[in-house]
Amino acid sequence: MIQKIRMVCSGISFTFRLLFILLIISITFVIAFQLVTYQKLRTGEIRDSYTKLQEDMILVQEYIDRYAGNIKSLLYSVGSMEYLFSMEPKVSGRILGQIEDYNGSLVKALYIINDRGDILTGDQYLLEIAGDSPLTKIMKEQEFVPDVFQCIEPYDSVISNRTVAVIWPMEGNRMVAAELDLSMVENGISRILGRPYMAYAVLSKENQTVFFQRQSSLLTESKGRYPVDIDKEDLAAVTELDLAASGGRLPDDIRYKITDTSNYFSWNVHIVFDRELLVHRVGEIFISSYMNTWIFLALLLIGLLVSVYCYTKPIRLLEKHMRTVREEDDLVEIPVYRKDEIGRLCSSYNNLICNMKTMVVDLRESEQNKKEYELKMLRSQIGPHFLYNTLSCISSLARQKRVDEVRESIGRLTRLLAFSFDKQGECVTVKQELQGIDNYIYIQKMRYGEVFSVEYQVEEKCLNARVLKLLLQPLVENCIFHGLLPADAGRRMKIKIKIRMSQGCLKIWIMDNGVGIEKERYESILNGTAYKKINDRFSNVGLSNVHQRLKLHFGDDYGVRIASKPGMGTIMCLTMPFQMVQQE
Amino acid sequence: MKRKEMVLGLTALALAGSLVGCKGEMALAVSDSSESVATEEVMELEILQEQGPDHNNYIKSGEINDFVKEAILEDLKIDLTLTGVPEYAQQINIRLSSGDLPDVFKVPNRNVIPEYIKNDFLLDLTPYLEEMEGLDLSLGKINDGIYVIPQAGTGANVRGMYIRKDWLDNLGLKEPQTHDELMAVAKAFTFHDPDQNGEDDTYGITAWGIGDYTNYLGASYAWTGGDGIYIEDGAISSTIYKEQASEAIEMCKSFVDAGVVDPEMIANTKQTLSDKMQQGKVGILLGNWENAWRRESTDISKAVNPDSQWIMLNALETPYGCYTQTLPYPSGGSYGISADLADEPEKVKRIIELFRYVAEGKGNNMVCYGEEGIDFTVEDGKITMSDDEERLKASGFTWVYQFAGRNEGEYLKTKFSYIEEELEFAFAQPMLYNYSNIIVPPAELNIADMTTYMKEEITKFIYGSRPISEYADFVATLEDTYGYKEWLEQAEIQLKNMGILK
Repeated sequence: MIQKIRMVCSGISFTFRLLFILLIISITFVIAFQLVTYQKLRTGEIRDSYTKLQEDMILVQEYIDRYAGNIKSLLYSVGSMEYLFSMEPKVSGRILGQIEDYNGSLVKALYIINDRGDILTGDQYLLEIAGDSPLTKIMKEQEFVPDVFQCIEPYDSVISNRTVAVIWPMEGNRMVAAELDLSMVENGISRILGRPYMAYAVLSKENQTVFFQRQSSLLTESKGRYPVDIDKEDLAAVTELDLAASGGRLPDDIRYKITDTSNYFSWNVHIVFDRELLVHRVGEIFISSYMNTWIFLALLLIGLLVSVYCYTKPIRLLEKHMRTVREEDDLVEIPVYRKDEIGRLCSSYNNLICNMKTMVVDLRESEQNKKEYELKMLRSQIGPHFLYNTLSCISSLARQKRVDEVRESIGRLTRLLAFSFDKQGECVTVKQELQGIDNYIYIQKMRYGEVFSVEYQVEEKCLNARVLKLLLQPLVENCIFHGLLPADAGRRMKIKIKIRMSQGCLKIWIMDNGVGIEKERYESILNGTAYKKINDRFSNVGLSNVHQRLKLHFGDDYGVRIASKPGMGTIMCLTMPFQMVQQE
Repeated sequence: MKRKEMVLGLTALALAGSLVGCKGEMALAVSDSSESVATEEVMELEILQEQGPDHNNYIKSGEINDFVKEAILEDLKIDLTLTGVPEYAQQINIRLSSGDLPDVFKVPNRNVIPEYIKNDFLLDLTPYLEEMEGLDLSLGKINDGIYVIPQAGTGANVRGMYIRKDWLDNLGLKEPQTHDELMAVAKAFTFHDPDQNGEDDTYGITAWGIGDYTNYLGASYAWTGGDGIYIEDGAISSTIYKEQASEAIEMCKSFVDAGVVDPEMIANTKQTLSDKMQQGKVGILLGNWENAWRRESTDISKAVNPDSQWIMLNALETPYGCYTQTLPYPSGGSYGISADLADEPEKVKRIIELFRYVAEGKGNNMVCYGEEGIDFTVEDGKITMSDDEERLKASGFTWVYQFAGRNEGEYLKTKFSYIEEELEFAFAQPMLYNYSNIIVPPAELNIADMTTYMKEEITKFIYGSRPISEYADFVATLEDTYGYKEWLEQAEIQLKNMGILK
């Protein structure tokens, strides 16, 4: 499996791999960073909200106290209206009604017990209809300590609905009372605590519900009951947490409440608080920053693309350069602008290229040397046969004591050898070559007698043409040994050498009227494949050599062609570029 | 090297973005839309009105943007500040008397209009009649001038008598068609455990105060307990002078006497009323449809009792007509333009343009139903609301922009399409218009005292603390002490002026 992955990976480009790895690292970093941030945000938010909750609780207590203060002031001012207690009850009621209207945000109803002992209120007719309410009963029946404000437990009033009353027993029998507008108190408190992850429940000193947050997921309401009440057991079940003591420690439960009773009415104010809802909110805030994360990731991707592109550019350039190297002539060095690893890699590459260049030059030189050596070897192959044959012949002449002929022969041989071993160069003029041929022919005639004649047909302009040295000699030799000597003794044997320029090429024909040669044979001779099969006294290496030399020197378009008909003779044609020898 | 620096710069930028983003503080700088409009064209405008129930909570919490304000800015180049204040009647008086007149303000009630005109708070809009074409101004004509732009009337009847169908079924009773049958049903609901929970914890009838009680119970008598003024047979008539008034009071009293009326009926608040209905403590409601049919309410009542079902009753049969209710003449509130703008006719024209914008077409759809394409879609002229209840809850704030009112029937059928049949039934019920709400009282009469007196005495009659035999005395007091006759005369004149009474 790992092997497989490695195989697949090995095919992916370096740039892509680098980009991929960087991206993975960056994304991991971002995610880790976000997770840490989220955790911190979460912890921070929970702690902050505890602190806020405590502050809110203080505000709520202050609000209730201020409200109570206002109620007391109102009761004081009503109590200070002497005439209310002494005048016609109807008129007093009407005035009370007007005071209620003006203080609609504080109280629902105001009550007084006037000097006559009547209980009066703004909506007197409702009192008449409903008869005694819990408040009026208390006002009538209970003994009060004068001038001490009394707060009555929540009850249902026909005028004010669910309410709480505050009574101010004055000196004498006078009394002032107010039924509070609890919805106004609740509004005020809900404005302070109106956050989705918390709910409030306000209970009286005797644990009666004053009001609580309706339809909150944090508090259970009674079902099928009126008045709708809070489930006290549920409220009791909520963890009670002393925030001050906890020191901001995060409790494990989901719901907590904090409770404070330090208000004027001694109401138990419970604030229930859902950690999960709060955390959910943190999550929402966090998710809202997702957009930023996406923007960041996009920027990161662009940044990575650009940086990877820039950082891998030298490598890609290197790779591109390396890819273009297909022949030894394409060995180009890369410019080096830097000194880092990439720079050093480029330098190494350049060194390599430099070495390769040297090697290529050396190789070429050695190739050339090899070629020349081969040529020299080929050329040197002519010597041994010829020398052997000629010296044998001269030896024969000497034995016959044909001194003049021996001298002439040795002179001819000396000139031929001088021509042959001349180190001036590989090439000679046609004229020089023909002189060489003439010497050779003389030697051969000396050996075999006048059994053949040689005819030259050379264009004047070709005499100074450039020709490879010792090119014709092996062919003439072939004519003599393979064409003429095996032929009938009765025939007049002839060799014709024709040299002319044709279509920019120097063409040399060597013709004989000897025994001829079969096509397969001369083709194999030319190809060099017949080299080892032939076991003649004179090897065929001469013809093959000429052909190879021409090809080596001038290319495959040049060489020797042979046409032959057995019994009729052979024509050999040499083709080479027509080049005049530069006259110095 | 330069390239390298650029790369480093980019990476740093990206990292910085992430860091800031992670902290949740990268508030993408959303430019205030008001800046996108050429400032010289934008007109600032303040409209003062009563505070709705926390209508801006969703906007404050950032859950939704105030797209109406934005649309008004974009379409009309008006940068509108809508101020909603609690205890509006007092607050507006404080602002007016301190000379700090808002450009446009809601008139707390029609009774104050004469005083506002006298104190030169309201601009006479008569010169702008041409601009106001298309707005229904019939209720705006006061003292030979047009001092307020009235909100278009509601005109749809969704109030009446609602009954627990499942309780009727439980007790094997039929829908009552007469008051006697109603009494029988109410008694059964009170004493025969209609919810079959084995507890004596139910009442027959409830209402939101004595006003609703008499209005819906007495409607079939063409009578309302309070200040009803009707047009019958082409003439003005008054609930007080109705021959059947005593009989109607007797009828109302009989239910109280039978002990089938919720004892807290007089003191009921909106909350206690819905609690009683949702918790299944009462079987007949005299009042509005919302607690009976609105999904938010029925969801709760169905959680208490899954069979709970409220239906509307047909108008009860009496010899006096056959009305489900006496409906206040279709009028919403009305808005006045500050007299301080007398020298700025261009501004006044643009204010009128705003009223026309929210009165019809695109603007009206927006203030009624929300954002087109999100809250509702329009196909062949038919508006379909979105299913996304959370979003609709959030976009519900748009009603505060309904300065020019709305077509209540269309509005309810569109917004509460799940009770379309029930609404159609309610709309088809016969009703009697009560015009008292559109009468502007003469300055010398104290209408508030008069209506309080009426309410108190009628309550006393119904609850038996004053004998009905004293009804004549009650009428006499009304006339002598409170100027009831003068008020009726004034009503006749005004209704004629408005073209309602021919």
